[in-house]
Amino acid sequence: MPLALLGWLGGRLIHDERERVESERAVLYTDLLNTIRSDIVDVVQRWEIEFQRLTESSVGFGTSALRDLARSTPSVECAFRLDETGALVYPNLRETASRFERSFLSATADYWTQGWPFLERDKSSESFYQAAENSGWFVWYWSNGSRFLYWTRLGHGGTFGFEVNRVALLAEIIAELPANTGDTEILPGASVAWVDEVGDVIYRWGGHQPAEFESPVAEVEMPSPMERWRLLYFAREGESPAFLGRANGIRLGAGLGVSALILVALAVYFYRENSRALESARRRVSFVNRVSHELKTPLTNIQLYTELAQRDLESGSENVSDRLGVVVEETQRLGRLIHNVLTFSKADQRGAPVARLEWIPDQIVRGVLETFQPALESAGIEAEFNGNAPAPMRLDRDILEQILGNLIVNVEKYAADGRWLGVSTEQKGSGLRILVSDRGEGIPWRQRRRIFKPFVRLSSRVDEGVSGTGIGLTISRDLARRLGGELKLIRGSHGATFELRL
Amino acid sequence: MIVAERTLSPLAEIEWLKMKTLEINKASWIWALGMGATLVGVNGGWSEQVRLDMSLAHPTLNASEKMTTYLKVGLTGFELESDRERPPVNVAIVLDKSGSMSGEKIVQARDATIQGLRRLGSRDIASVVAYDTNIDVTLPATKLTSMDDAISKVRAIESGGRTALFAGVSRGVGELRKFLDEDRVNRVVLLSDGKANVGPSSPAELGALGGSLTEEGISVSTIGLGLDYNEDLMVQLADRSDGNHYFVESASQLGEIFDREFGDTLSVVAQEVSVTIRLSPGARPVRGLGRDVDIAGQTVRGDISQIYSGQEQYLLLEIEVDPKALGEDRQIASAEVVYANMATNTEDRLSARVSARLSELDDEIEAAVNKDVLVASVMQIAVGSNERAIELRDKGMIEEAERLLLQNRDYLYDNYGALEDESLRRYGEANGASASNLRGGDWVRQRKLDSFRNNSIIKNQGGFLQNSDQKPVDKP
Repeated sequence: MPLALLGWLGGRLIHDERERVESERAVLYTDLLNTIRSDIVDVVQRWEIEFQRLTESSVGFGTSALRDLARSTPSVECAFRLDETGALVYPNLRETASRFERSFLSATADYWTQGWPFLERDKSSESFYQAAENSGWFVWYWSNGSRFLYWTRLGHGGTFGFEVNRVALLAEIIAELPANTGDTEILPGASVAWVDEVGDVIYRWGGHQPAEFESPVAEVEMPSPMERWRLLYFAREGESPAFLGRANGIRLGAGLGVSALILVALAVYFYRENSRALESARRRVSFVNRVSHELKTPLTNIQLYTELAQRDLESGSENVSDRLGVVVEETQRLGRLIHNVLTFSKADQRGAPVARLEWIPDQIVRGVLETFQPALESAGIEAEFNGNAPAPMRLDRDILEQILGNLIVNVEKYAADGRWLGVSTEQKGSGLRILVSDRGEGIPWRQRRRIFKPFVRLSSRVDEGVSGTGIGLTISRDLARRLGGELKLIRGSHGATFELRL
Repeated sequence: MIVAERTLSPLAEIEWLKMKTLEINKASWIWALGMGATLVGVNGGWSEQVRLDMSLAHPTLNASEKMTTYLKVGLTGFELESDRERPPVNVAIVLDKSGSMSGEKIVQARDATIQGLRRLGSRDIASVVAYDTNIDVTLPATKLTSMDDAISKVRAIESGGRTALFAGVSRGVGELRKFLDEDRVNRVVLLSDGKANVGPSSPAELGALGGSLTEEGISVSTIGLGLDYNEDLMVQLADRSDGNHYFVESASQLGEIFDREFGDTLSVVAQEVSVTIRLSPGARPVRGLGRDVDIAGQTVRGDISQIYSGQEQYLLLEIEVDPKALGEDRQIASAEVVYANMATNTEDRLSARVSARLSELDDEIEAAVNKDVLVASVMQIAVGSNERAIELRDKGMIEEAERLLLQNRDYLYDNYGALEDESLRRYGEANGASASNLRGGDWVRQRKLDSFRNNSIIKNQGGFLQNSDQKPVDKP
């Protein structure tokens, strides 16, 4: 009977796993494209910074100095300046124009009469005032290609800008995108193409030649000013997600093998511990599925980012420490997850040791917030801490950290769009009260008890890519109770607030 | 400057003396410099400078009527004492390995590349990027400490695929940027046998890329192999970045061409040359001939990316002189040149002036003519006509193109009669040959040959492939 159940569990596992892999593929490919996209954003931002610098230093320049500027700056074709009314100050139409100025004037002729779209006409005063942004890109079409322009609004009124050498920008981006080196194929079985509005390829890499009408498995939009262009990811049918470094199916298989082993170990363990009805067995199967996925995601990221770091080391780029930072975070995440799962499985054991030593609660809370700071920052969440518990008291530090960790991770996962996390502490006598709140969607009051049941995730938000086992809150409350305290959801105006009393 | 020895009226004699003094001053400056250079030549020649010459086609102008003449600003590179002196080189070789390069071509291309690499030294940096549909960074930018390793990587290049030329050049430039330094000669050498068909592929776009690269201090030399490449694209890229362009018909010539290109790269003595010419009142700039210049009012600006040892590069202006508006000193123009001296790693400045004599007598004006300047002007004007003929032929107007080419031939032959310079005769002959090759398959080859030749003449590289001695060494 146990063997049959194991067999059945294994079969379900593989089936669900395959389904999951399919949907995860698209997510992973999109992630990979976004990584590339952010490299491109870096190049564009470098150029923007350079233009800002040039703008600042050329504020007082006259005609001949501006001409020299265009001649000696590779990224600039021609400079231009408008006064507060939007009228052209430089190039000066009354003076004889240089070659670059003439080319610029003829390519922009329409806009001098129609007005530039990035300046808006104030209906009341008949003068041009500028849109809310202080600077930006502008793209228009002339002759047989697109042209780029970068403008900055000047403090005293007026606008200063440059026509940008478009191909020089493209060339610089291409130089920083991946390419084969020697005989190493960087992306066998897949390829990435950068295409323009029409679908013509500007640059591509990877071993897979897409067929005539093959559609990409993922695509992202290029950053400004190239929004009309896209990055496309093509992969062979049935190809496992390849990475930008060396694709090695064996390593991925090993990773999966390891998680499979853990799965099997856990399955056996749970079956032996709980001989319940099929209902709870099914629940556990889905839990086991989720855990396997949970474990795989950080493993995938660790592998990906380590390989990216390897590549960066070879090319001398400076992103290595960022990449490794992600590896560290993912490793910690993995650790936390495993810790949670093991804690959950131990929960039935009575008399689990609880260490009570003297600690200052605020220090512990601060420490936890610091650990989570990078992750919170990258999720765009601002953390606010209001500490009023400076007196030492007897606590189990690990347990407190685990509870706080789970609560913060939940905010990260479910309430990131509130962009805020608030933690406050309070001491009354020998008691400690900690509030963890966010400004996300909030939790319906009716669900306030259900959320603490194991394996429950509120399905009001179908989060593709938000992983979770549904046991975080369960564990946290059990731990709190073990310390003689309580964890519950309290009423709040917006977002969710959890109260921990110890 | 050529000065006529005749008896003169007292006023003219004073003029003559003034100008002679200027001339002597200038000559003595050059002479002193020459002496100085010789004296310290033993020490390694630290006082080497580029030589600046300003001359008029008509040093004696008409005293009563407006006259059109030509002003040449010539820069000649000094000789490098020894190989030790030459500036280190940072070169990226970008090779086409698309399907069309299969067979003999890719073999020759690899061999030529290896030959080029062997000419470099331990202070030099090289990289090799091969492109077909994708990019392959065969040899990332590196100091050539292990030549064997570099060579074996080049040998491994295989052909097949389409032609991502723009990406190849971009990547080559990226490799170059890793060690970009104004104390090095930074060069991309691009070989292609076909039309770019992946990525930006128009001559204008590649030209714009070339234009921006030259401002970074990078020149791209382009080698077109066979009859299928796009010569407009290759010429624009080289022209705008002030590199060289070559038309190579057979792969077996690749070795020789790479040799020439590397030879040039290894003999650069001055970079980032910026010339500003200020014309005096009475001398109106009409247009630039040959190299592109920027005319704004009475100021003319031109840039030359590099000057080679022992070779002259020049800017040529057509000007109209009104003798009544000239100043007392009869100054026509002054020039200021700033450049990076690659032997001393300094920024050097040069300046010069040129004045004219005035005469009522046609014979005097005639006799004083500076043949070198006139020959250069005639050649550049003829190039302009040849380019127009290509445009006509592109539009399908074969007869008009033929007529223009034959006219050009006659123009060159006539001037050859008067000025007796070989290059005029040869170019006249070439125009005649072009005129008879305007039809069918002949035109495909002829267009490439003409594009290459025109570009070479504009860039003062002689223009005749067969004669590798054809490097202009203009006599002072």
